[in-house]
Amino acid sequence: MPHRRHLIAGVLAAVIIVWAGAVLAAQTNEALEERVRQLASELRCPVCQNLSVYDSPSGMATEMKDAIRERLQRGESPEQIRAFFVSKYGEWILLKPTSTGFNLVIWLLPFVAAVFGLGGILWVLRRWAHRPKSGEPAEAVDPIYLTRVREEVAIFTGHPRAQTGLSQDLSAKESRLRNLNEEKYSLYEAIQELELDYHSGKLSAADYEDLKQYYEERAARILKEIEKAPEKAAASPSTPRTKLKQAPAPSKRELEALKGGKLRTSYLVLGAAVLLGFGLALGVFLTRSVQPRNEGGSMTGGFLTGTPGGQQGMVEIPGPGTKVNESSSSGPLSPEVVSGMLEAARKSIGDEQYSNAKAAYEAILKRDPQNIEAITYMGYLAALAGHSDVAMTAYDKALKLNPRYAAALYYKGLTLEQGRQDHTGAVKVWEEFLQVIPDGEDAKRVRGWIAEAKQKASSSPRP
Amino acid sequence: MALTGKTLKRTLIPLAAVPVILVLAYGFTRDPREIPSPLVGKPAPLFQLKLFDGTTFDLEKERGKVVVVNFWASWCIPACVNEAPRWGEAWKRYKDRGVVILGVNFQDKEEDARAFMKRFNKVYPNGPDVDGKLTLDYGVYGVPETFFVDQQGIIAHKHIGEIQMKTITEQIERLLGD
Repeated sequence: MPHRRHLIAGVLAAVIIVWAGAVLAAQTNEALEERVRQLASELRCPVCQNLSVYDSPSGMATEMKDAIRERLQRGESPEQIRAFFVSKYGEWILLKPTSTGFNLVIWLLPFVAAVFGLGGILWVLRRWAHRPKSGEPAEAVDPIYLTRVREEVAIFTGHPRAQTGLSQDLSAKESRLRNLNEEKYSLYEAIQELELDYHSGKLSAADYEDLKQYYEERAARILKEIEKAPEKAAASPSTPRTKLKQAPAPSKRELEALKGGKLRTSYLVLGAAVLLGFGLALGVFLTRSVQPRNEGGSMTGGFLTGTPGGQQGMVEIPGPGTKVNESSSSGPLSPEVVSGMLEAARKSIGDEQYSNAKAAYEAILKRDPQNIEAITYMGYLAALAGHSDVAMTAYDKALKLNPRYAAALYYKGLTLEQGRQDHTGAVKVWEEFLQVIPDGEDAKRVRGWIAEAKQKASSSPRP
Repeated sequence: MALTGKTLKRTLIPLAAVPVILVLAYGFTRDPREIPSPLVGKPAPLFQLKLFDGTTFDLEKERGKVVVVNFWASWCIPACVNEAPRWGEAWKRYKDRGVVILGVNFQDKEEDARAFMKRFNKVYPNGPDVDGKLTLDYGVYGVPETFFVDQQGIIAHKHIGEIQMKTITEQIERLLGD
């Protein structure tokens, strides 16, 4: 039995070793994959639009992931791998710009802006909190004076104008008294103006109440000061006076700022105008610089493939010479809309804007899958790309819908002839085309092709 | 001070917006898709590429010639389709003047690539970048992309997107003229 025990122990040990090895391998594998994932998600997939290499399923991104994995296995550090990609693609490849040099601005600006913004908010809040008390001590106002102010304002008929230079000898006290009076009249005037503004709807009720209270309290305090002046109470307006230098009364601008109403509306209008302008500019520029990728366009976006090409006679297959207007008009779209879309697609083909044409036909087929013209030209576009089998399927589908559809016959012949070198097949299809369209330029062209194809068929007979 | 307080506020706040607007205006005038390649002016990464015809292309052996490396794919419509006849034309015109044109097939099916080559009668050297290494080494974003390598093996110019005959001739002539 010892033999057997040894055997069991041996098998067990082997199992444990293999298992441990597998676990270890799986773990290192997992760790490696995690590192690949990490690096890949920091890199921008070159053929995508704003996707990381990790997030992209494209072939290119897969190859990049493989390259990262291989380099990690070779013992390269993530920094080295990042540096490799930057050396090939520039910093563009990094989804996170490095925080050096000019790039620092991008990193710091948000914080600077946040600090300034918070500071600004605090400042404004503090101002708002202080506004009711601003300038004046928070001392209670004698209601008697307040009532008197109201009475005086009610009968106030205008600011008594200062008369110029009659007597020079004015005591400091008199001068001060007159200044107080000046200020009082200014305030009365302001209150009346305020009422006028309020009644004409330029001021909100809340603003009006606020400001009115403020002015009235100020006026009451001044009134009290004037009354308290020991000698001549309330220097009469008729007293000769000299020209005043500078009354401490609130200046016109200050009053306006306090009144706020008019100013606030003009600010609002200005702000709205600026905002509107900014929005318009944003809309115009954004739509101009950002374009959606056309369906079927290259993954790299329109700019790599959509550059309008010169007319250098490159593609042998001629443009859609056959004008066909047999679009089947079933489906939810009105026939006018479909024919408009078809028109645009035809124009795109004429201009060799194939991706645009393809997008247009796809859009038509989405709403009207039986549209014979769209089916045919999708086939033509596939043939252009060298996918003759896809093209043939499309043509046959179109011909099943209408066996005498000229465009499908025309292009099917071309694909058979050029894509498949099936000369006899091409001749047969083109002859059907001639039955539908016996005259005209297209028929003439097709006759020429038939002759050529027949010649080729006889010189190189198909096995 | 007369300039403090409200006047200052009224002028300073709009003034502060000016640099922001200028930065935005500048940004909007730039093409967001234009990405400068760091490879231009640097030695072209060396490589050996197995071609469709079974031979191997070795960039190092082409030193002294102007080498044009064109990345393409059969599915790249219409740019690659538009370009194809131009490359045939360029090959005819320059093959005896110390210019090599190499087509690198990018992310493609071999049969599609071969059909494309047949259709456009691509007779100059063409090979598939099977594992994508070459594509990464040249920092290719997509197809078509074309690199003009001078006689010393330095990348003189990179063209992104469809190329016109005019550009092909200009670039080659410039390098031949040096």
